[in-house]
Amino acid sequence: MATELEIGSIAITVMIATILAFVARHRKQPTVIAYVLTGAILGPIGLSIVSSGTFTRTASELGLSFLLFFIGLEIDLEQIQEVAKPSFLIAGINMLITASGAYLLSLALGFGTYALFIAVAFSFSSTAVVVKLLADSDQLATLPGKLDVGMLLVQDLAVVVVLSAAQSGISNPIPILFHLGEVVLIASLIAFTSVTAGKKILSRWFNQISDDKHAFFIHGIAWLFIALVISGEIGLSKEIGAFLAGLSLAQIPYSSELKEEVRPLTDLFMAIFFIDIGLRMAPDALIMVQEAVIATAILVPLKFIGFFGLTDKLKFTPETSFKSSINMVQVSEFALVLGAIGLSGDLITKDVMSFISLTTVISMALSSYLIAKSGKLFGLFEKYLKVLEDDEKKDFNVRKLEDHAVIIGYDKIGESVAEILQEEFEKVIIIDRNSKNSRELGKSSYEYIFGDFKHGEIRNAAGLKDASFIISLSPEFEANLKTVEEAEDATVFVKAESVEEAAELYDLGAHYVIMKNELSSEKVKEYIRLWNEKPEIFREEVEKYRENLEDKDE
Amino acid sequence: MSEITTTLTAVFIASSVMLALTKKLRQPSIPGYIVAGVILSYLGFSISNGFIQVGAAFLAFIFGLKTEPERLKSVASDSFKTTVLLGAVLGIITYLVGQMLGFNPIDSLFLGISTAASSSLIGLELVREEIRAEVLHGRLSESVHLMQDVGVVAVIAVFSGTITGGGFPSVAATAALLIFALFVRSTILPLIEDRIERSREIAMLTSLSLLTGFIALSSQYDASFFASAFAAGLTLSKFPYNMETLETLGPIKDFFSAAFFVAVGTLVSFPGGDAFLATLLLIFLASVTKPMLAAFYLIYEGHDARTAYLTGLSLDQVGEFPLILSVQAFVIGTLSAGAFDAVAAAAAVTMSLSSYSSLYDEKIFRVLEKLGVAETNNKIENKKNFETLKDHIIVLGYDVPGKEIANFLEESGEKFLIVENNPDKIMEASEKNYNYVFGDVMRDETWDMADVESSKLVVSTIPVASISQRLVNMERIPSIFLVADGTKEARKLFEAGADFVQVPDILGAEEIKSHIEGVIEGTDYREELRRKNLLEIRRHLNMDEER
Repeated sequence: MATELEIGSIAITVMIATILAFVARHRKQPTVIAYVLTGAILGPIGLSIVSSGTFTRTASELGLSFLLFFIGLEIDLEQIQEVAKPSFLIAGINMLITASGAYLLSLALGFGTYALFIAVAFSFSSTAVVVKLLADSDQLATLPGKLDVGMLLVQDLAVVVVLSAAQSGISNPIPILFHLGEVVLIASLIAFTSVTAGKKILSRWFNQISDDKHAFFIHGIAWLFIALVISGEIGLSKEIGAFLAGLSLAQIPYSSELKEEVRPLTDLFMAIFFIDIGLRMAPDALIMVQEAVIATAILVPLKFIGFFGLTDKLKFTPETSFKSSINMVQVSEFALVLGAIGLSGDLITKDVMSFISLTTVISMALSSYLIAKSGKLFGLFEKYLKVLEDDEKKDFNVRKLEDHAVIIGYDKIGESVAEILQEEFEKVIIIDRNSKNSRELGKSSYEYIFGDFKHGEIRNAAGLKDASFIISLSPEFEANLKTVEEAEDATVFVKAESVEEAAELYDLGAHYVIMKNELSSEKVKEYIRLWNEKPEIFREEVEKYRENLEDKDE
Repeated sequence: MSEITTTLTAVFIASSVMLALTKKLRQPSIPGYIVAGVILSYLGFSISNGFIQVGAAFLAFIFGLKTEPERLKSVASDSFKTTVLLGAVLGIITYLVGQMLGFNPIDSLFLGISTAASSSLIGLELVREEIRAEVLHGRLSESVHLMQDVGVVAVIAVFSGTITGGGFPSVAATAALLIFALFVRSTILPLIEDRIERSREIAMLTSLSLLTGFIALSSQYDASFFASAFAAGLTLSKFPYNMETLETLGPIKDFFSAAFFVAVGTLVSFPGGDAFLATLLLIFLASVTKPMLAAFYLIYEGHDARTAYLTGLSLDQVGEFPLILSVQAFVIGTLSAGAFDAVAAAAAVTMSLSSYSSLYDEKIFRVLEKLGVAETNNKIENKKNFETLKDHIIVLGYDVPGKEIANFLEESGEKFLIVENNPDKIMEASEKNYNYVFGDVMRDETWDMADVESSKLVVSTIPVASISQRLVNMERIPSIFLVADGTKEARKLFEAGADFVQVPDILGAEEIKSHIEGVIEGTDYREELRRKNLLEIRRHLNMDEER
């Protein structure tokens, strides 16, 4: 951790990373590249003032764990079942295709005996890059996003096997296969138990503290660390342990909020992870630039064609096939880990290491652009892909919302509003972040999303754009501004705390701005007038009002 | 499995168990973390000092981020004087106690700070409802806490030379960093704020750059670590996006601060000998002397006894600022183990006690009242600005709803007066030439002045259950309209004899319901609704401008 000796270099690193990330964001480029570049500039390859050490390694490790935890939190089990089979097939076959391609390529580039090692290293795609970028662009919940996550998890399982093989120097395929079987078995066993346990025990444990955001977060983190320790004990990778921890939590109602809390920590540790990749490039790593560029130029299209062909074969629509494949074209950071192990075990030479690390970094850089621009690229190729369209090709039913009503914030007003809306609209979605309501809402006939409306993913999940009626009872001005901006044809009612806020919301197109104080003051004035002028009617009205209160009580 | 992962696992499991427990006992979380640490150290765990440094840095940074110096201007002089008085009297007493018990001057200084400042994290959380409802003692507590936090930073800056051993240059460097932070905040940030986009990742990186940058500078020039991390947060505190920053850094802070407070627990040992005596004295000074002193002073200043005591009771703990400071100083070897143990133990105990004293604050006050300790200073009278009224309406509270109603009553030509105990609100009412009584609705004297016996109706806009309960049972009041938060409370008040009880949510829901039905019937309705209300809002805005 930070000691006074290092604080200067930490400060410089963070500053450079900030500046580069700022430039990257400004030019609409992925920040991943900015981080790797920061590492390269400050590390041995550049100015040589910062070096990779225990701190960066530990933080990188934590980063990967948090990232996988985050993915796990994202996954709804029912939805992953849909993509489980295709992910398994595509990822498996593609690893073989890529490995064979990479093997031939390394032979051609003259790596001879090391070709097999390189082939294995290059056959994986990068969980870190893909998931980070998908999360940044809120694409994790889309069908291509889910397919990618599924495939990456399958690859991660394979990584565990390859790593343990490389570490123990096993070359005989039979124990490896045996080990693979073992890993899959253990992982599915744990997945099963943790998910069932998750529903029962975790939801009880978490329920106790669910109205306290801070306590909830600490519980989540504790659960993650327990999973890390257990998976370490039984020989699974930390990544898989973290993933399962997230997965089991995802099945209880408040997980989406936890996800948003985990995100900044993930961002922080992953930034260190990518900086560390830059830091770990040795000065002599540059000798193999030419070969690495050639390798990238061949590997990236090869991976894309492999993924695209397979996805298309499984009868997904061209759009899904294209988008899910373009995300997966880079070489995994795992190649660097494997390379480091190989180098220390004298399985490969420095030249080979340089080739591997450069290809990894270059392909990652290239692929981050491709992921960031995947929508645009698809637009470019759409007309050519039309040829592949076929009535048989169907995406899985990704939930489509239409003509529904959305209520943001659930209070007394929300409760009675929901009743009327239920009669008029096919579906009523309630978004609320107060966990005191969660039990009641979970049981109700409304669709319920627990979380903060300020977060993009939660807005997406509510299908705001296609809603017919939106009412926000949240006092948060920011959230209400976004609601009014994003709504398209819907009738929008939003709450404001002041006249100024109300004016701004009306200017943006809100149909009705709710001002709680005004609302009830209006009524109170009426009652004062009645009390003063027509005491008889006042008494009658109060009678009626009291009956109304009794009703509400039950 | 790396060592850090094992440590973190232990830390978070222990924290999660303790948090569940403290939640159940309605206790604040900090003592829970400290106890978790004590248990861990008993089990043989130790936590790297790195976590102390990182945690302290994040905590100080977030405090800075939440501090808006502009708000100091609105702090009334009574809060300012209270803070200075408490700081000086308690600080000096504790310093002398420390000296007598044989602690060295630096130790005694830290002991002094620990009783002088209260915990804004805990104190403010306990009076959150009162702050929201704008009750006077909520407002007073809030500003005293704010002043104390700023005060501690100032004291740290002044003594940074003594603490770091760097002498005057350290003081100068600390002051320079704070001034630099204020300068960047007020002159440089406004220039670039438009160019900064709202990305959470960038917000996080920017804050981390500032934090690490300031700390690097502070270690270079021997400035105070704590003050410089605070200064880094202060730089961004005016930022329009500081909400974004808070939200992004919040979880990171939560992560490291949990580890921080647990680490504090692992370092504490049971204070023995003089340190034990010191701990007891610190506890007494912080949870008895401090609230009493604050209350006496506020009464002397002319506040009513209830407001004074409730404000005092919200201050009855050792602050987290002194705690963070002492841990940090202990880790780098400036503070002795005895003094550190005393501060940490006293902090844990007083923070726990504080949650009880706030739960029973009304009861404590009533007991003191019976004992005759808590009497309002009679020399200072309530104020009113009229002779006598008859057949008038009394409006309680001059917040938004109170203003609405006053406006309505004026338009309909009724005689009315306003009762309010917040001097700022009274100013507003007197600017409008409304009749008012300045005083607490819980006191009879206030009602005498309002000529309640000859009034025809009292309309309360105060949504505090305990106050409504008392009002409805007051026989002097002829007729009363009350506000309740929920239906249950409303029914109780009706049964107790209220003429009308409004439940804002229910009245509001009725209004909204009718609009929804309108919209569903035809789209013309929604355009009409929009147009009508937009005009109304514009009218309101124009009215404000004319004023």
